[in-house]
Amino acid sequence: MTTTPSYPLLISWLATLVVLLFIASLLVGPAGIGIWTSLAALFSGEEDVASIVMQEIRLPRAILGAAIGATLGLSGAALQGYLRNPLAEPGLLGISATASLGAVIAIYTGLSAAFPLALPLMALTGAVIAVFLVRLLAGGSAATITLILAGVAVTSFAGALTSLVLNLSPNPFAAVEIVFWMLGSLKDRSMTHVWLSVPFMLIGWAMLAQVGRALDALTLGEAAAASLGFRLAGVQTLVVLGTASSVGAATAVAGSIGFVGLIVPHVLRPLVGAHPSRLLAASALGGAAVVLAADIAVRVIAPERDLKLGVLTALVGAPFFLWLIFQTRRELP
Amino acid sequence: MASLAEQRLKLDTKKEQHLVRHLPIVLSIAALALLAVVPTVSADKPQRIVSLNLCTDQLLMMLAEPQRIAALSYLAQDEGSSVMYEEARKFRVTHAQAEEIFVLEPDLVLVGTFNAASTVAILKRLGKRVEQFSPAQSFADIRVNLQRLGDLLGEREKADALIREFDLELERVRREQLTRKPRAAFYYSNNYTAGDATLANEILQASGMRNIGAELGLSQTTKLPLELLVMANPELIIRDRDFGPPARAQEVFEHPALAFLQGRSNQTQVADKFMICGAPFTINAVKRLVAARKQIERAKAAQLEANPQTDVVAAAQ
Amino acid sequence: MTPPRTKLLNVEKLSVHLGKRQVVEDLSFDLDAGECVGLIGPNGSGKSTLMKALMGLLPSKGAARIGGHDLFAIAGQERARRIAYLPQEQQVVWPISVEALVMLGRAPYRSGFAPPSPDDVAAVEEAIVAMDLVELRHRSARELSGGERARVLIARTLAQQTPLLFADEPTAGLDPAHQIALMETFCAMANNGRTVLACLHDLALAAQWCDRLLLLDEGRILAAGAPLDVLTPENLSTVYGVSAFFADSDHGPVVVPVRRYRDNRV
Repeated sequence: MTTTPSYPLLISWLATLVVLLFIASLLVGPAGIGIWTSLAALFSGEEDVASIVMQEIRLPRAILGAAIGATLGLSGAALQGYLRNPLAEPGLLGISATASLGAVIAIYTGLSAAFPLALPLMALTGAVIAVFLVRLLAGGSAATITLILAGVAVTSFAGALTSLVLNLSPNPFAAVEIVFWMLGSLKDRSMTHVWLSVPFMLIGWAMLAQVGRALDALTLGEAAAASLGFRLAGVQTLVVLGTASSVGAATAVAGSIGFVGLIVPHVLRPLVGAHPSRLLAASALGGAAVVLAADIAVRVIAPERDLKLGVLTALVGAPFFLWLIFQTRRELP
Repeated sequence: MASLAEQRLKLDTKKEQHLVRHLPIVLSIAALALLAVVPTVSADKPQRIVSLNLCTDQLLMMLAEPQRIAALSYLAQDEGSSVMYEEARKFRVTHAQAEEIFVLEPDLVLVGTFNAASTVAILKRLGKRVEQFSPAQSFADIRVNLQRLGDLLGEREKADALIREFDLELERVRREQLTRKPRAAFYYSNNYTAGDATLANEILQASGMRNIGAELGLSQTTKLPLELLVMANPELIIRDRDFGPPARAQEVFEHPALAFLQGRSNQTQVADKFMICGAPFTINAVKRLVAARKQIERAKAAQLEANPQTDVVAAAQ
Repeated sequence: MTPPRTKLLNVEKLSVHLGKRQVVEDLSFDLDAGECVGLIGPNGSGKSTLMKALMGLLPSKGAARIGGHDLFAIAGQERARRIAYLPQEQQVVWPISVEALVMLGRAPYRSGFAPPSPDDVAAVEEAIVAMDLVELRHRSARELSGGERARVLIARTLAQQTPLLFADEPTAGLDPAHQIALMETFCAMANNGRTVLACLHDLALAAQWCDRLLLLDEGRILAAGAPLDVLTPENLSTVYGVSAFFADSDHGPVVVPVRRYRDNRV
């Protein structure tokens, strides 16, 4: 029996969770400002140290946490629906890795210092290349193993090129910064990063939101979906560009954060009756909640160290991924 | 000695024959014994010194005659890292690879604590004399290192003279009147600051300022979250040098929160080559910070003149 | 006497190339409203290709008119309101409920994020009842047996409320009872005024249940008409290379292939 909670109820519950975590994220930090002082400082027009901390350090971090989490959840759900494969997500398919490569080239060559928009644009380009490459390598209705292998190939190659660019940089700090790009972090992000990335994420979300009904129809396979009147070429364009734009921008400012796009849709799928269209909005909210929670955790667990977000998501995500493989081993080709 | 040996041989024929037969061996052993003694006698003044570490490079250049220096490390010639980069151009440099060092046949190798342990181990195994110098974390360390190197090189008087000069300059700086100690913070790439028990800390205090890093309870070079830096509201932020092309490590310096602090405070770059290595030239770092401090005091005075009603607030700080 | 039928689909000189091969060549045929037509022919004769081409899933040359309109000029959603397509792969990727799956058939009538209209709900309800799925409506579509799943997928096409249904090998993998049930459903649909064109491999089923047969061989129509007119011994040996057993029964003609020809000898 498939009994699911009412969809509007689920969405409101998730939205409330995101709001609560957003507020919690604003209140966590080494500065030790009291709750009410923090909230007052957040809206204060005065330029004192507390309001600077709240408005310039904590607020961008919380906004990016929610936006990036939403991006990862949404793109994971969209990719799984489009590729008809529960193991698809931007991290595994190499999209985050190539977006990182684009961002690294923009930053370490000095291009983004001269032309700030170069950062999200080059990350976006990298992401588009990955989506096309994976589709090319794995073919139409790709068997899982082919898809995952294509993703591994793209991730490895992008990672190697990223390391190369970093090691060739004359700046002595560059070589070890590969860790940020591979694991992701929201530390010391500013409103500049918000303005650079959020517009691209919004554009991506707008594109992905439109493919919901087509993804529903794809439950019956490509031929049936096309016969129901859906233009699959258009769907592909929206999925590719929407994912590239949002994931590219997210990776450009926070590095590559894995497993969120894999776990969140999988956990929420039973709660939305497996409708791919309903899963989009739910996964966006779920992803936002997960990344906000992880970002709060890294600041609470190891406040002095820069514990990377990707460490936490991998600690939870990698075992989950293994379990998922075992679970679906019999069903997947 | 040969004639003595021969004379003794005439006294006892049996012994004679015994000794005659073993004479070559006895002479060889005696010669070797002499050779073994000679190096220890001339070890007081090493003649082929190789330095593998930027700080020992510079101390070496100050204390030893040029012909005794076989090689320095490549960093000694780097304008960004080395104070004495021009003098260093006269010397050969190495990249601290065991082979390149060994062929120079050094009789003394100076290393720091950050040189590759494997390289140091090989050199010791090959019988080279290796002396390790820890980086100076205080003015006292500067004096100790100088004296120790002076002893090693047989140039103790030169070392003592440099120390006297340094102490004199330091005293001159300290003797200036201070009404108030401004609060300053070091902020380096990757959010690092210099706290207590660092040379930078002592330099800052000698220049008449308070180190926010130390006051926050931080020790050695360690991370200071941006939030805490903002809350501390420093009057002066001291950065490390420009590393050229961008990296994430320097992104924090573009952060609006830091721009806010900069708008309110001063920011200065004290070329940190004067602070990485503890040496007599460290006094230049102190002098530059004194200049920065005076600039703060002038700015504050001008501000007080422009806004007399804020007298009470300013005086209370 | 059967009442005169109206022409529903008119196909004229349809040709389809796949790669270098000409799979369908200069094919012309008509379909009337309210008939159940079997599309038969050996493997590779072009049956699936023909259907996909008419659905716009493959590029083709030639003309086709449905209800007077040029089929290839109609936009996807419009076409989906006139022809429903049941592909060979009975794929259901996600564990959605039976009811939700049937609702997918209403896609041509829905747009944007709007919830289902009363018409949508009524159509789905009708389809569920017609395919006897009332007790299964909340079950996950992936948990059903082959026969149940076949019914659900047909129900989806019913909910689409199209005058024409293309079914590609709908009886594949079903046991005899379910195969017959399926053909009964098609007949019922035809009696209600809809047209069904079904690709079939099972000649016995085709003979028993279809009003008309279209026999395809190497991309051309070799014969068209009543089952016994098409399934002649000559046609069977030329096209299929088999000889068959013929009989009459209360339920219609019985044609069962029994032997195959090897080097012109049975």
